[in-house]
Amino acid sequence: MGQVILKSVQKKFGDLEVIPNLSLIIPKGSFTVLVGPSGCGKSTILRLIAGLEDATGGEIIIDDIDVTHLEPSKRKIAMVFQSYALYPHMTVAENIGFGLTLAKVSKKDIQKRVSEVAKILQLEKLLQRKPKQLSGGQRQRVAIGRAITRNPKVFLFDEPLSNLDASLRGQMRVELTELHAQIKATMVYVTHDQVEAMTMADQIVVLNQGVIEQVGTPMDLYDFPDSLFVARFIGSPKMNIMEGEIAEKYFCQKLGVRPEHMEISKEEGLLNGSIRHIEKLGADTLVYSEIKGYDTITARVVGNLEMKIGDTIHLRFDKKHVHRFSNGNRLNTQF
Amino acid sequence: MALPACLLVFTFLILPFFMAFGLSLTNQRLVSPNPTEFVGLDNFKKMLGVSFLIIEPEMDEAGHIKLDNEGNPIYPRVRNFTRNQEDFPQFYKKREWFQLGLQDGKVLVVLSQDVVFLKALANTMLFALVVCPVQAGLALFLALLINQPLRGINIFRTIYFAPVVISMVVVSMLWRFIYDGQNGLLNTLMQMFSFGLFEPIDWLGNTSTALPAIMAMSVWQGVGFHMVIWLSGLQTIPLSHYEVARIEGATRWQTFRYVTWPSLRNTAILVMVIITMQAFTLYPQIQVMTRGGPLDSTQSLVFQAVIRGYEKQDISGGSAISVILFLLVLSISLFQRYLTREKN
Amino acid sequence: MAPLSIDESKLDGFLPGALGRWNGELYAVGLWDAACAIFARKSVLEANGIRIPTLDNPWNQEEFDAALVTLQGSGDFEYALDLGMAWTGEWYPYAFGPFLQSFGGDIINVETNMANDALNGDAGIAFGEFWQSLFARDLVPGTSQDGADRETGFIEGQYALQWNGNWAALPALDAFGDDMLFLPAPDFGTGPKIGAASWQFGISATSEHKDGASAFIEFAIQDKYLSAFSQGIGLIPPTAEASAMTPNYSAGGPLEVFYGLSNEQATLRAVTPAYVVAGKVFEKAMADIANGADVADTLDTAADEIDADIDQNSGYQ
Repeated sequence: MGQVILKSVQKKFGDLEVIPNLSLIIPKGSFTVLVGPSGCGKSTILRLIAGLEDATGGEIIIDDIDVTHLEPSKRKIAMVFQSYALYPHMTVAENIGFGLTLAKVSKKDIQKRVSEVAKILQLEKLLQRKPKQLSGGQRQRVAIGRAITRNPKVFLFDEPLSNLDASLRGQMRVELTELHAQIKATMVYVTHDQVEAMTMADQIVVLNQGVIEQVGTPMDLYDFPDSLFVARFIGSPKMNIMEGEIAEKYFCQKLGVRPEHMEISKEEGLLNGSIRHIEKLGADTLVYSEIKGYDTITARVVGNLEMKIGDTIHLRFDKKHVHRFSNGNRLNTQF
Repeated sequence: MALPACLLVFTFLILPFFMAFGLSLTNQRLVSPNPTEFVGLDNFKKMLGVSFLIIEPEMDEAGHIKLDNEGNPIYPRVRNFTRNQEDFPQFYKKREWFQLGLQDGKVLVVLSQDVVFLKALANTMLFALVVCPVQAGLALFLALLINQPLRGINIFRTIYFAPVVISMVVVSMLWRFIYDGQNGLLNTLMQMFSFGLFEPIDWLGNTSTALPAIMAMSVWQGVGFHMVIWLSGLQTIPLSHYEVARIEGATRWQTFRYVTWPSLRNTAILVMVIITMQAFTLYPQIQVMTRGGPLDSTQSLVFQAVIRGYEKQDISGGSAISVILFLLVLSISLFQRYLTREKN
Repeated sequence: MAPLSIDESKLDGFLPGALGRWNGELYAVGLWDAACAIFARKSVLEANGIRIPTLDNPWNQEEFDAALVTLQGSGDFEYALDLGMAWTGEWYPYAFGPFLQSFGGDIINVETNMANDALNGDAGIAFGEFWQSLFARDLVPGTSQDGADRETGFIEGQYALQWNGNWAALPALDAFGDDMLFLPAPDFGTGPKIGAASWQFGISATSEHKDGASAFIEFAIQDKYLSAFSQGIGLIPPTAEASAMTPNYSAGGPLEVFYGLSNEQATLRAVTPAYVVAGKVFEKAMADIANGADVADTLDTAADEIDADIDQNSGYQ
């Protein structure tokens, strides 16, 4: 239930082309995350699916029905906004039951459904409160509750966690993933945060300037980035990109190595320099080094490291962990 | 720094306010060599006092009710009870305000010593009662219309707002031409659209149309101002609130009922309080267009306060009306506050 | 105000309307007088077979009424007569009060210092009924008359007759020339009457230089200055000698008739400080009656209000 297909969808705002031509399949029951830097068109795609924007061209199909020209309410979708968009004059119960009130469902049935939803989201004790009496996380849950109430085929989330603090965000990520497992509906989730994408998605769509860079599972994207853009975008800290002599040696224009694949070596090698900055995270340590002939190179070391800023450092890596790019694209041929 | 402002506010607002209370309890004249005397609540008693008289139809000798040519019963003249009648000292110098038909052909006559004031009071209340909801409603309707991102919408905003920046006196003079009974714009238009079937009406010269005509003009003049207040309220509503309603399947009416209107609560209170206060201070329209006529059908409290205090040089009478006006507006405002209070 | 100390001989021949006397003392002198007349066109009256009245033989009430009905019936005019209802304010007591006086009533009876019985007596009510009938029969425009129509209605032929003052005479003369007539007020029973009126010089009771002020007024009321004043502003010179010195009001002049009107018909309004309020009350009563209010009730209320005001001011004594 809830397969979404976009066929050659285009969107222009006046003369500004936001989505030139985009095709995408969102499998039913999947948790698909649209990720990309701000201005990449990810929110526009979500709003196109919701029907809040009209597509300039192409088709949008939800469960075999062409919804391109249908009203949002007829598309069997629900949306959770970044600002939550809760009505301040309504109680939590009224906000959750809003769609049912509009559909003129009897008061008794609304109450029944609202308490079911409240139970799922642990909102039972807050039903009579107004939104301004709730914390950020509680408001978020109410907004999700309002979405759940109508049993939509597709849930659309527009950066729902960006207004929360870091610890709450971590907790909500878990809750959302569990919710997905529980209700098994299709979820389309927009974020600019690749951590959210990696942790929650079973399919990630990386967008850049309205064009899909790559679609795949988190580990696909991590291990085999199709493009330099994806390579840089996925993973934290970012993949090291090197060019020049070392890239030529691997027969490519740019060579990428993830920080956790950098090793500290005792002998002088290809990458020699001095330590500029150290971040100790406890479980592991990030070392930022000034390497002769290259930019800053990041290395991730398990455990603690007995070195200090200014120390001389030598780095090396295994050739099975390199990513090779030419003209911005991945080279898969052997060398 | 604030001293000059405080001084001005004190001299022209606070001092006259308390003076009005004081003067309303005296017989102060505008110009008179006679000393001012304290008269207690006499001014208020004269204005607000009413008495009731029940009259019965005249009977002929056989005990039948006398009928006039059209078959209606004939009543004795109220003047017989109020002028130089020693039998009815309580009605002396009083005048009929209005009549109510009772059973058995009896008629209840409400008499007052100051019918003009009571008519002014009734007219002012009626004016407020009609103008408040109509002006607020129309202003909201216009605000909803122009709160859309259409091309050229600013032209409409300007058109609707234009009457507000024109002085009420000027507007009133212009509308006198529109309402002219002979060749006024309104009559000409009505005749044109009815292909000459419409009989021209002397809008301001007719007791039944004069007040409604002034109401209509007042609504037109002030609607732009309140439209702007509504508009500012509308623009504080986040777009996402409407988008949720769209996704949840709200009709236009439901969107207004559940999203727009509740979000405008504070704006609505502001608009209602402002319109009520403006409506109760009805004056320039009356002064320019009808001077209270015809037959007192457009008398208003402020107009009477000015007529008495200034033209008839009766400062105490004018002050008494101002005090009544103040108490009236105060109690209505408090009542509105009570109605619109936060429920929890 | 202080009485003037002016030699009485200097005031010989002054029109009564230009002198302000109260309690036997002279308080004010005006440099001009004004008079009202019925503006009419000879050709219109002749075409409708209406007698042209004279100062010695004005219309009586029946003749006046018949003339209005005839003119209205001719169908050539929107209204037979324009009374000037658009001129709210001072015009009402000044222009219409004399009709009441001609009926035998008055706004205030100066003898008794009361409006009751003067304003709402039999004569007052008779006047009120007649007044109301003019409006009820649509012979005259009502209170909603447009100000512009008042100014130009007669000249443009909307109205057959117009009740107006000498200050409006020149434009009418320009329009109709020899055809133009200024007719005396009708006689409603106790002789034809028009209001006497002027703005006058008086001296404040607190003045420190009463003598000097009196001397100035005495100087200003010489005939040569009075005629020059009239030339300048077009109003009636208050003495016969001064009138003779002006082209408009001298014998044979186009406005000579107004000097006669002022001299013959002018009636002072009630000379009392109560007039300020009484005038307003009278104005409202006239407007209400014109709009169909009960005549007796309206005049009762007006009389009561004037009397109450006089009482409140201790009789203005």
